[in-house]
Amino acid sequence: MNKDIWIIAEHFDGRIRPVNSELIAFARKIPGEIKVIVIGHPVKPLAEEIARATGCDVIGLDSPAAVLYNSEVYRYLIKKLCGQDQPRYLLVPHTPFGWDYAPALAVDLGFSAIASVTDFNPGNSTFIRQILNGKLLEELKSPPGCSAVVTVMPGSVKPETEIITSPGSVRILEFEIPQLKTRTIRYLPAQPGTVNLKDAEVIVAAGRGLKVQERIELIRELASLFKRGAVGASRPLCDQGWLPLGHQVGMTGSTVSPKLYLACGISGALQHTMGMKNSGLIVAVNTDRKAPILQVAHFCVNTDLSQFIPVLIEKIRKLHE
Amino acid sequence: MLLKTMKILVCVKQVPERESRFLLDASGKGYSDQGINFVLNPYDEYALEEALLIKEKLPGTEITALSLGPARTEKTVRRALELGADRGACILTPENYYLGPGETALQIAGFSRKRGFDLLFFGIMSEDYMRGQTGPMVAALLQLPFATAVVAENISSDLSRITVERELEAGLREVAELPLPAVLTIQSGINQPRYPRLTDKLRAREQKLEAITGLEPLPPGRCAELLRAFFPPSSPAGTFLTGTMEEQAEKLIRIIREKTDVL
Ligand SMILES: Cc1cc2nc3c(=O)[nH]c(=O)nc-3n(C[C@H](O)[C@H](O)[C@H](O)COP(=O)(O)OP(=O)(O)OC[C@H]3O[C@@H](n4cnc5c(N)ncnc54)[C@H](O)[C@@H]3O)c2cc1C
Ligand SMILES: Nc1ncnc2c1ncn2[C@@H]1O[C@H](COP(=O)(O)O)[C@@H](O)[C@H]1O
Repeated sequence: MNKDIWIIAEHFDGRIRPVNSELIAFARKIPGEIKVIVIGHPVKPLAEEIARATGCDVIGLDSPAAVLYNSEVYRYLIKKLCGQDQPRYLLVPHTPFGWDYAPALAVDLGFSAIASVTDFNPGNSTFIRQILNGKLLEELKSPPGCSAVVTVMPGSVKPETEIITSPGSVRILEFEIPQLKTRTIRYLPAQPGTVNLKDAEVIVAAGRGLKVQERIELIRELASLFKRGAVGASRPLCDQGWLPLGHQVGMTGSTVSPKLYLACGISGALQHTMGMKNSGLIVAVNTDRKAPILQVAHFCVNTDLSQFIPVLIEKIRKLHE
Repeated sequence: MLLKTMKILVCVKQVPERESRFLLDASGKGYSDQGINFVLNPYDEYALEEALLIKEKLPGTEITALSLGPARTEKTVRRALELGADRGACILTPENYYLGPGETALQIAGFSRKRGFDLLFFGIMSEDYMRGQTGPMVAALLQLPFATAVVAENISSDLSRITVERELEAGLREVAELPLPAVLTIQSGINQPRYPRLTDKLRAREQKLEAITGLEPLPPGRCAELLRAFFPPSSPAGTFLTGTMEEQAEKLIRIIREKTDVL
């Protein structure tokens, strides 16, 4: 094992995903040499793009089987590479691709596995992650002499913005992959939504704190008082069928940045805040003074939404008269 | 005639009720379970429901619910029986025993070996530890194909393969096909979990559970070490509005007008 930090880059549809800059920034907190690994077919253009954009040395793993994402392909190729040399940390984005292969890869390699970390503490080489919907944090360490596969939660560090003057080196390795069990067939595009959250200037978003389905009317009414207002939602409301999927904000829904985001009864899980934290003005209405949403909100109204929203609607109405 | 049935394992975890208030335990490494009400992991309800839907299509299918934890975990296995699982099993751990992802997966894989499950279902994550690691780790240990974040599935008519839709980011989906046996982690929203039927409730009360004591030994040095748990910074980044409800609404309107042009 060496002291290297290997980042497994993510790409989709021929494009390097923005989360990679976050992983580079995360890796820079950890002492050690950074290398980026990218898997695809053809992988060379991707590898060159990363080397140019990050200045890091890049290894491209190429195989005809790697056209679409496949966990078996990722595991096979990374294991091959680790057969020659083993890093101290393998950093993987905690995304639908990353969380898929990373835990199985850790088993394959006999590495320890730490999921969805949000920070690294260089003082004692520990990783920080949320538990219990963000109500507690835990601090973990991979024992000395044991490499680790670590998935990093998107949105937890500011992306690297350093200006790169000299590109890193690029090395391409080609492999034949034996018979695969899992077959990735194709990707299905997102269903066109019934609402256009991207163009909204104001999003009034509802979460599980709504408690009663009928209260969606309150949210609708408040949103309708703004010229370009729309109703957003946390995932559970869409899961329960209270609102169509198009309203969902977050990792698996829309990423939005309206001028005003009013989060009503939303606790602020990372998967949600990932999709709205760049909004201009964020206001949370929440009965819990410790809800994680209060770490991204600029202003908080610490009351019951079912009482507060009617009062707010009333006051805005008066203003319009 | 070929009798079309399946053996499905559903892993169900016992987790604290979502609204609980937490205190650190004596070790400082986790939450204290004093005064906490424990429930079946809400994400696992979707996994169990998906198994029940398969059983409706393929009568004779047998669903085993398995949970790993201290003695109180039995209640969660019984809950799975109430919801319609056919068999229940508990792998018992000592009280206040920390289960890392590798160890959890090792025990579940040990239980599953030689039982001939065609499908092993997991929730997308446990609500307390929020790792999403257990399913893929069990698959790797058993050398089975797997898919995570499944939002639709369809088993081939000869029961040899399963086609799944995996949820990617921003509404995108991936279609994949896996040979059986296979491991799936089920994403929330795939179905609407049912309420228990009275007959199942009565059956669940009487039914004997399989209790397994004695854990499989862990290979040394491969697990991450948990050092401590702690509360996030308690001071919010933003400002709390003060005053009566009316005053807060007025203040909020003033702030919106100052900082934006939407009002
Ligand atoms: C793979 C994956 C992807 C996910 N993707 C997304 C995503 O894209 N978007 C998303 O939103 N989530 C997503 N989630 C779910 C996410 O982890 C959280 O579970 C979810 O965001 C929580 O929704 P919530 O805040 O509405 O509910 P809760 O966490 O239950 O919060 C409810 C809040 O309401 C407050 N409240 C209660 N009563 C009142 C009241 N009367 N007045 C005011 N406040 C009140 C409570 O204090 C609490 O803070 C994903 C999860 C996984 C595992
Ligand atoms: N102690 C446990 N007992 C039974 N199933 C578990 C246990 N821990 C995790 N699981 C299963 O693994 C899934 C993912 O859990 P986790 O990897 O902890 O996020 C859960 O939704 C359960 O299906």
